[in-house]
Amino acid sequence: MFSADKFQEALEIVVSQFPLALWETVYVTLIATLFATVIGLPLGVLLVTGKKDGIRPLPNWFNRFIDLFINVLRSIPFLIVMILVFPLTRVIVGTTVGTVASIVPLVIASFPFIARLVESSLKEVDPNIIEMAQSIGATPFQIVAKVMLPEAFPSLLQNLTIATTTILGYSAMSGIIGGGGLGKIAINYGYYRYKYLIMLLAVIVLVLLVQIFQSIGSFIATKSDKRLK
Amino acid sequence: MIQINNLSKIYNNEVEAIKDISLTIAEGDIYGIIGLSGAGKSTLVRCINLLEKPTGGTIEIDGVDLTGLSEKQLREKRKEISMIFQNFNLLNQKNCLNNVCLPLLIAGMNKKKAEKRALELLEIVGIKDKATAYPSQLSGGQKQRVAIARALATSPRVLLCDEATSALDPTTTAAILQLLKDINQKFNITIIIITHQMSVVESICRRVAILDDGMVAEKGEVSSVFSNPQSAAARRLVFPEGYDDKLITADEDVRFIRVVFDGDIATSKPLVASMAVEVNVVASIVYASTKSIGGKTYGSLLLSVKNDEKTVKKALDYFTRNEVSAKEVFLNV
Repeated sequence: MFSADKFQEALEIVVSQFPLALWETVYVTLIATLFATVIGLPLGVLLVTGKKDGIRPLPNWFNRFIDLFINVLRSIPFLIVMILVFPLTRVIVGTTVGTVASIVPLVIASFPFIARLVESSLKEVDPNIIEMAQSIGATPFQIVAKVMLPEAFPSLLQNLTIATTTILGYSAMSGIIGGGGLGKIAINYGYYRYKYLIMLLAVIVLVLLVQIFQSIGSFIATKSDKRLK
Repeated sequence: MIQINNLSKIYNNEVEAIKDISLTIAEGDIYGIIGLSGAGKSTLVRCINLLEKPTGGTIEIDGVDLTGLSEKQLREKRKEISMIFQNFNLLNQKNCLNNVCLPLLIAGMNKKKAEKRALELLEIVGIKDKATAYPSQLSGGQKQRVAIARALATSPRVLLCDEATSALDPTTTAAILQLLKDINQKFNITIIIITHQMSVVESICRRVAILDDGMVAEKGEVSSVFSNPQSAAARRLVFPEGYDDKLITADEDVRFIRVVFDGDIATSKPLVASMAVEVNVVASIVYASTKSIGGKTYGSLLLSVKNDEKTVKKALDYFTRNEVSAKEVFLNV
């Protein structure tokens, strides 16, 4: 299927371009996950604590608004998000193309997802334990910081790992708008120039990367869970 | 010290969990609140520290009405009213030491001081050696000890126990109750015990309130309530083996007398037999049981005698002469 000179060519590209692309993919993914978590975590907390029977109920219209806002953002396909946030990207980064610019749509597309994951993690915390915290006179903020987040930590970590691998997948797509990384190599060589072997290799590296992220995340999450010992 | 006035709680404008409850609990007392499932015990205890907002009535602790406090004042007050639970409610991701530290850190104490105090508390409850263990590594009794240590951390004046021994085996229950008793004596903490177990109330409570269908059916000294229950709800609890009024036929021909005596009299004289000989009243035993309350054994008999004013009076006089409490009871009325 692939001739020897195709292998030779692929090998050269792997050696010359893969290290940088790998690095770009990793740092775009991690930075996007970080920012998305910074926005998504508090939002997820609000989703739980702001409920009518939560520890700090918020006005009903406000809850509905966040809920709708998150659902709307989550239903837009990532490809469209990338184009829709161009104005925002230009304001923040100064340009709409390039590796750094691809972080903005990644954050916008993934923070609502993270908010939902955080919501589901926090919902798992035993309501009796929250009641206990109220009985010792904890403020809503203390309940979140000292009880809910620590109790949900392994589950949060597990969910954030899922988020990271999803963002990794999105970041590969951002090759279309000029974002760097393995995705760009796969699209440029595979789609535009019919060099399937290089695309295949890029995909294999992406798969390995997801495997590594997932394994590390699951390992730490399991290791940190004190319920299992 | 704790004064509950006309407390009521209605959920969603329809379900009346507790109705018009008034109780007075003295400082340093161990007060039992007993009732069957659904009697409103848990709602009542949660109303005492306002985890549930009562829909009517007041709760005064040392003259301060909790229902009139702001959220902030209430949080401060809650540090004086600790609570332990059936399922212990320990943080699963924190070790015992940090679990005990929690209320101290929440009260603003620095980490180092909190850890020192937490260690002292773990020593008081007898599991200092488990300081670095996680809850999943402990037995039920040990978990409850950690919970008690945590409850004592803020030096509370009141300890609410919500079915605190219901998930424990009898031996562990006895040990935890002993610990509560020690704490009550050592720190003069008023303890309120919510339970459905008679044995718990019998072994450590001084006073008891019996809750039935959201209302106080009966209250008073444990020995008097349990040896001579007046209400149907109390009788159901005291004689769970089937002292069911409905099973006893309301016969026109008989009247009932309840006799309550302590163990000494019961064994020294054949009371019922002697009654037949001495005053010529024959009685049949409808129900009999013995109970151990606060280390003393009490016997309880339900006798039926002929429906005749003179007979009943003779029988009652006979028991009074023998220093045994007897009372005519009217069943199915």
